[in-house]
Amino acid sequence: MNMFSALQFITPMALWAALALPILWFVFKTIPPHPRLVKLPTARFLKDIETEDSQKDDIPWWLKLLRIILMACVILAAAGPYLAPKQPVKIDGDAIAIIMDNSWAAAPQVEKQRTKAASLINLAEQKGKKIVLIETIPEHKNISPIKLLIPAEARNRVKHIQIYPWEADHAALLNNFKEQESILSKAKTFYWLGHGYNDGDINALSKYLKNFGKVIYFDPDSKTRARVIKGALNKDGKDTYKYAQFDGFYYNDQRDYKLFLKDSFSNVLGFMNFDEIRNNTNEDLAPLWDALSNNDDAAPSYMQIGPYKHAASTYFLPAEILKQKVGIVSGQDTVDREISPLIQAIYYISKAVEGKAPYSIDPVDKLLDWGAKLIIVPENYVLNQSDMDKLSKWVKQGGTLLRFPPSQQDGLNAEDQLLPVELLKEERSIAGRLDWQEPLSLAKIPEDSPLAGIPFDKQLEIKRQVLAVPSARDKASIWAVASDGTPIISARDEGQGRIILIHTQAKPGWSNMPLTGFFVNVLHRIIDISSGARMQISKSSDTESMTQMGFTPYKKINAQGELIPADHTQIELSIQDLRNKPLSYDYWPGIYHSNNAEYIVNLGDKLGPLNLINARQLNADIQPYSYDRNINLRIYFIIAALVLFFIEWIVVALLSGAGQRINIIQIVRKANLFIPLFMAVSILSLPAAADDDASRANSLNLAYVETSNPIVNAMAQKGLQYVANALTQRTALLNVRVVSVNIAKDDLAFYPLLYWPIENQTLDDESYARLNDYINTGGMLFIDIRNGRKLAQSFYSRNQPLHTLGEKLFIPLLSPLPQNHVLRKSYYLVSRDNIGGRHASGDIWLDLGGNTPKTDESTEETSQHVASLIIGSNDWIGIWSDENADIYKRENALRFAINLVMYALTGTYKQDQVHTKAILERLNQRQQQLRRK
Amino acid sequence: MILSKHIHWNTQSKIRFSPEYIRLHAEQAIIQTPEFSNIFTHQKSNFLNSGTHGQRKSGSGTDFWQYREYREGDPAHNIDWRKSARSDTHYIRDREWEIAQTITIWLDNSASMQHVYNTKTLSKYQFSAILTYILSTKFIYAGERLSFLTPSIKNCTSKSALPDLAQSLALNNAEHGSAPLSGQPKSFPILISDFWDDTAAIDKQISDLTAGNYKGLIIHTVASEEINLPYKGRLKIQSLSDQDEGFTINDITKAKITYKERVEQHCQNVAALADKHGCTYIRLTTDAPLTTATLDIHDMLTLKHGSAK
Repeated sequence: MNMFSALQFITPMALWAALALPILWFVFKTIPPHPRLVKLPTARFLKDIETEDSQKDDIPWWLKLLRIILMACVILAAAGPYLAPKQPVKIDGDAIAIIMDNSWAAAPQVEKQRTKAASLINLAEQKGKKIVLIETIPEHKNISPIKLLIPAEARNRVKHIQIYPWEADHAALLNNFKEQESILSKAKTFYWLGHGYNDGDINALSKYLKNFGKVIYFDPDSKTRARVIKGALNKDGKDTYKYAQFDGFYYNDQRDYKLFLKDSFSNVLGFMNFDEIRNNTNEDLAPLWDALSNNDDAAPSYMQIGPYKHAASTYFLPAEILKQKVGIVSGQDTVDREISPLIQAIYYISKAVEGKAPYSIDPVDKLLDWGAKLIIVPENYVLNQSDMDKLSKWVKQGGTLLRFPPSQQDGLNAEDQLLPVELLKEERSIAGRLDWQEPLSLAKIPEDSPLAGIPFDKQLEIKRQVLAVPSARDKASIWAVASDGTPIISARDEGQGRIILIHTQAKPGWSNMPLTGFFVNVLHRIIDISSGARMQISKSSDTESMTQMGFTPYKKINAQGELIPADHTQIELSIQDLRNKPLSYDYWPGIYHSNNAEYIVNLGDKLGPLNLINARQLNADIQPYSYDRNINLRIYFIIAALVLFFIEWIVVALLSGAGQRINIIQIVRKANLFIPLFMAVSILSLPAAADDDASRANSLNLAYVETSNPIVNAMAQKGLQYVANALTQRTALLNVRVVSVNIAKDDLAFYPLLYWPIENQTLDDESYARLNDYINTGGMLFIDIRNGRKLAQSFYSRNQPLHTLGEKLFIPLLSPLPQNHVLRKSYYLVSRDNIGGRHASGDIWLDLGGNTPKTDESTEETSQHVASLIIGSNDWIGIWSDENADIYKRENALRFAINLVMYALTGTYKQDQVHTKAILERLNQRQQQLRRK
Repeated sequence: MILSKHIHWNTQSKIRFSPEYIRLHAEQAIIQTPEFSNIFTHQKSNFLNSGTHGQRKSGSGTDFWQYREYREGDPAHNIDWRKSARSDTHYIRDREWEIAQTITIWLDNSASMQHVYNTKTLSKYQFSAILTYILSTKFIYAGERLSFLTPSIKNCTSKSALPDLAQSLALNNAEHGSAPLSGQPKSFPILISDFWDDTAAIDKQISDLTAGNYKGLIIHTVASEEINLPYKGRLKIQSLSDQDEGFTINDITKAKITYKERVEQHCQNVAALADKHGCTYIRLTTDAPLTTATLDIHDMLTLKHGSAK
């Protein structure tokens, strides 16, 4: 392709200046070079000597040429040249045909396809042609994929063409071609906006189109071609996500491809590199999962290969991979537990839970605070009334409570509502010393129970159990039945949560169950379902019951690899359908639910091995998309002009100093007309510098987040200005400014502290991502809820802004502000009651680092962690901006503000021991004063 | 296309024109010139009519002039008692008034003389200053009295004053021309300048400075650049006065011939003027070695004045 035919200009008008270039030649002629100055006492002897005009020899022709080329470069740079793709000049036929390949693999190419299609449509419009638009996957089954459109319609349609996460049905398309031959025959050139893979029989289509005219296939470059991740089973045939297969790797660029593990907010939890990826072979993903082993809070949602996210490059994982926090209720009898662990239920429970999920052994209160999803109450623990109330509320909000037979020593607590069924007062003892009955064994696990599929054998012996009151049995669902038909595991839904009872003890006295793998499997399954996760249907084997299950779409995966709510939720698919049916309009990849089970359909699993398009077999003219990209040449012309300019400069200096010694200073002194010219052109050419940003970076900015409420904005502006003034007066800080920040638009990196008087407002995902970024990269976000309530209330009540915020913002673990925290002493000494604000009732929470909550205020804080998120509710701007406020209160609020700014700027600097002596002295004085009072 | 104002090349001489520099180069030149070097060995020089010159009237001197009668007011110790003893009157013994001849030197230190063409060669003034020092040394050793018509140069009458002379010559390098003092009668004027003014001005200048002595030496110092005009191409020519706008010569090579003719004509004019005022004319180029210049001066002087005695 000829480069120069593709040269175009942003401002072609500037090229008119090139007309002046020949004039320049004459200008050089008529304006001779500047004469050398010679001071001569004998000047008068030279006066009036006529010499003929001889400047022709003064400028060598090559210097003139150099100058003209230089001016030409300047003119070209000013015209803004860029390389644009060559457009075909001639179009045969009445129309041009555009084939939009909108199957799954086109997802990374969609922008290129649209740009290309738009430019082709523009071309057709210029020539007055129509467009034959062919979509390889039509909008709907019953709509023809071939349309004859006028350019305006086509332009509109192209914008709305959707990429579908499945393969195009090429056989059907060929039929469509044959049916609508009349439309196709209008076009002589077929522009196939392809994705680079031969999915189905693309060659046959191309061959057929050849009957009508030329086929030009646009092939994306190898880097952006879609890559595929597929699930792989481990050696035992189980789907453990420890292995995966990849496809689409044909070049030696595997090093550029990382495998990411991301959570549902697309945060990267871990990644791994590959030295080499072989297509369709199992790759060990151990490094990927190793990264997670220490991270209990990570909630992996999907794996993604490569930088482009689309349906085939993402592999969604079941929720069972999530690590759920398990709480085991215990009194304070830690000593007992350590002395004789083997007779303690807690020992068996914790051993079973270990490795599956993070767990904590604590009293009920602490477990609830910790955020346990499943709370296990061993048999030896007696729930008191307050525990029961709390647990009951928690279950109704979605918690799962697993119980073992309550202690009978004090008689069964009649008020105990936290049982799936009402229990008989006496437990039943079988196979005692005086008994001739055989111990019970496990008979069956009903197929509709979430425990279905857990293997068990006859060796399981149950000698004692608690029995449900027969009349109450219907209320609960039975998950496991003993050989005599009595329930071994029963459960009842309560609110959004569940209460599960295992009818025998968690220690070996009553049965040998705690010693078996069955016990471990049951607990694991319960942990899985406690988060709402469902039983995973194995990819390899069916049980009888599974074939009966009906699955309905729960979420679908769109072509961009995003989980979105499914629309055809009434469609019911059997497990065979899920396994074998080709993906289509009514069977999207996604998550399918039955009552208890879940089946994830990932696109990668549905795809066969990929084949690249083959130029010879395709029998088409293959072109890259990349010609679409305009290459801006302005900078090259500017550089060329600069280089020429310096050459010219030095040459001129050398010429005019001929015969004399030249030194640098003399060359520099020969400044040239081109310098200002260049400055002008360069300034015009380069984007205007963001002077605003520069000024923001140069001063300290107290920034507040703009809210939708103008009154709050005004308050924040005024309040922060008051703080800024105080900072300049009282501290060493100078040049403190107050700025408002729009999270969606402004760069947050300039602000060490961001004050957010939070309102009920909806932010888009982008803004949340920016906020997350800000928090994670060293910013300090101070959220003021301004309602004066305790923070916990704000978090849990649905109408509060914090509630919505918590869903999208990555909130680190928060703790109440400890009494000895550096925030209380970073400038002023601020005691417990003096955190300021219009309300005195609110509290202030911040992240102290680490993964465990720090509630004990007496412990000396040693962490070097600087909080990135501070949440309070005392309405600080309310008092900062209120001139009529109580002076004492306002001063306190101001002191807190100064401390806050100092904390944001100096971090834990004041935490060290350097100032301890002075601080202690001050504290002593204060205490003495208090005592005197 | 060049924006900046005129470029000044070589405006600063690289030579550090110190008194030591002057003395060193002058003494070297003297030693290398046998006709001059004899001053250090106390040999008689036939250079100029050196020594004292009787004034043929009574005055302070060593030679007897006449006896005269004592008049009131004469100092008693002037009475010649032997002569007076022979008669009744007291005789005073008069001596002939004898003075050393004064040599007046005018060293032009105008801007033109100071002009530097090449950082590595001496300017006309510097060249002339060294020459002046050589001559002064010679004259002082020969017992002549020296007087300078250049106001900023101290008069020099003894050997011990020579360092001071070097000092003031060096200092003068930085100063620009000052009007010369008027010439002294009964003196031997030596005028050192580049004489680039127009002929009338030079005539007046010479006549002022020679003060009708009808003798003297005119040393016409010129820079080789002024004679040879070693330039090429387009030049903007400016005289040394700041007000001068100057003029442009498109091709200096083409103008050279005419220029040289004009300069030669001017030099001849100056020589004619020198002749008119009874002075010896000698033209020296600054790129000539000092020794040669010294010899030339010696030859010219001995030719005209030495033999005249």
